[in-house]
Amino acid sequence: MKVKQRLGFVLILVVSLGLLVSGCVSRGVSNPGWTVLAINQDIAYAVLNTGKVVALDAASGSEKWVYPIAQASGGLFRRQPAGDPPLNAVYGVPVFTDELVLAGTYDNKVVAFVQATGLKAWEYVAQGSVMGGMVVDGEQVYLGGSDGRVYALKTSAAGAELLWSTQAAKHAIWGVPVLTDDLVIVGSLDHYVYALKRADGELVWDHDMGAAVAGDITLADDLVLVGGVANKLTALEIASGDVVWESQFKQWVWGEAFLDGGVVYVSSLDGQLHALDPRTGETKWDTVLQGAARSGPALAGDYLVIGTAEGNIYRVEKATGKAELLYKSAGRILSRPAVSGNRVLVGTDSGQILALDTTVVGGAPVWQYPAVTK
Amino acid sequence: MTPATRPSINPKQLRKTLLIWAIVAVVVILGFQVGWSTIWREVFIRPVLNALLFLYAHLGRSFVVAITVFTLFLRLITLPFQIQQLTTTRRMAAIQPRLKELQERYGGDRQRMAMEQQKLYREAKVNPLSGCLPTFIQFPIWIALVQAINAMLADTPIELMSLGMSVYRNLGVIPSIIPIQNRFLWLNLALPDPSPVVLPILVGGTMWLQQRLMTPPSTDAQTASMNQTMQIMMPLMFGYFTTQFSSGMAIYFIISNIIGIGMQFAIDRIIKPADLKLPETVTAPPATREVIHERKKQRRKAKR
Repeated sequence: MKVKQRLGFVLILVVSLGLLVSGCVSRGVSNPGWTVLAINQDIAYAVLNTGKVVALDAASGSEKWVYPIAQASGGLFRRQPAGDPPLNAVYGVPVFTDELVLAGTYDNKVVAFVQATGLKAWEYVAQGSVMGGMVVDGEQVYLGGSDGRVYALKTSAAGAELLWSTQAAKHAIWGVPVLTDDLVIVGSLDHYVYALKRADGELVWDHDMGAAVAGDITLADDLVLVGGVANKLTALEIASGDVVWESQFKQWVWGEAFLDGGVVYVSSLDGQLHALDPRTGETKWDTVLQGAARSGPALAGDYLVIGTAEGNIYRVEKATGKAELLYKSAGRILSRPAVSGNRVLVGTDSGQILALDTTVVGGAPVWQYPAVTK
Repeated sequence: MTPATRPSINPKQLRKTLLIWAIVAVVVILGFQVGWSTIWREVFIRPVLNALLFLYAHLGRSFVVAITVFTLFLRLITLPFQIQQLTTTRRMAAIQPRLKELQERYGGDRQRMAMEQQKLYREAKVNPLSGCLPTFIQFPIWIALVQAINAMLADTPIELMSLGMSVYRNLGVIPSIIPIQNRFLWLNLALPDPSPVVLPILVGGTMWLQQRLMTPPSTDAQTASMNQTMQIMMPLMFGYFTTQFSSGMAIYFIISNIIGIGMQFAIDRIIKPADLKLPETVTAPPATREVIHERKKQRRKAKR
């Protein structure tokens, strides 16, 4: 009896502590990444936060291909499927070359899939996590790593070749770089924005933003727009890195700014969407949404579409800032929506992709993936 | 029921019970109205996280210093409870022989056994449940601290997002200190120890030492064996978990254990065994089998 009691006690202790620790440990368990997606030629390519990569018909949601074919089961006792494992955490939106779709992962990889078939073409291993997305110009791909390096790769269907890499930042780079004719510009968590020569990665200028730059930066004519932890959007001159204007908000600016028709649209983490004059930074309108706006908006005709951490998906009139709730999802929306015609696709952190009609307010999704079976 | 047999109600006790139930009711109502996760975040995680960030910003921007000061502060706040816990465990150890005697005497009569036990606890001024109170109080703070450390070290966008949502806006210094300096000695504090031996051994070793100092010797074989299992299992498990934790968390465990060991020494000096003097009736040596048999005999005689 005593032995039984003792065994029972130890078992309860181990199970409780195991559960407690699995809820507290940050790595693996609570680092699934975001569900990110992009559309190319009416096909939506998405990486779900389960590590699954899918290609879907943007109109119908029908599956073109899925990677990996066998999916790992979740839970405490995970079984690894035979063949390729799912991708590690992905935070950046997929990008496209002529034939490939590329995704950067937390375990330092750039993984390339053939757009037509979903076959894994190659992997490039960087020295740090590839948190942000990448920017593509023809065969050349530029990305930042958590090691603070900027990488320039030459890619083909056969593989990726390193053109150059530069230790630009003293801390991680989580945002997507932007390209001009001769510069690659990127923000870093070390509070700086760096402009490097596209040809060889040599530093041209840097600018201290006074706070971490966690998100993407945006080109707006001869300016580069930089958000960050300092609760403001700053416009820097591309040529010199000098500050042209600053627009102060109440919370972090993490989502990428969006320039359309002479207006800059940018969201802040307090759930506001702002419209600004790109020459002066003056506010045209502000709209309050329910939930933190982590990502920037996407353009859908006369509307901007944006999701929030409370699962609300809004369409906002570009001209007035009037916001209408398109749909409320069960999962948080942390990544940028993608638009195809009047259809907007949104990834949720519960691993779903929702397709909504931007002309219908409050309607059910046109389709969702994985499909719900009744 | 006659007035003589009606149980007396202690007004002080009644007020206390009503107050506890009122607090429980308010918490439950708030939980359903506002949401449990909101309450958890606002009451525990955000205060702890912002306190850590404040200390980090004003104490040389060192994560280790911030964690040390915070843990020390936390331990000082819970010191009265810890002293109470120690007093209780020592008193419980002192009355163990009497409890054993009661078990032998009234083992078959549960009701009587419970009554006698309560009487003994009252006489010894011991509340067995009060020994768990410090642990219960510290437990949510401990979990909040673990979550706050993860958010503070923010190695992933999800964690940074959680940090951004939790920072108090009026702590103006915060934007300039994010991200937190996550380098300490050979460690990246946001990731597990790359040498998977040093931190697990330090965590397990300090935990074992702390438990050894805190656990009173027990006269009951079963309790002693249980304590022994705990003393080995807990450090082993935490040593293993350290290989999975971020090293920042492991550093917290080591600091917390070292402070705990230091405080245990201090408490041992403050509370001398003389301070725990129990009434003689309570600490009287346990009756031998013969004495118990003799007493039973006398009672039977008296009944006749």
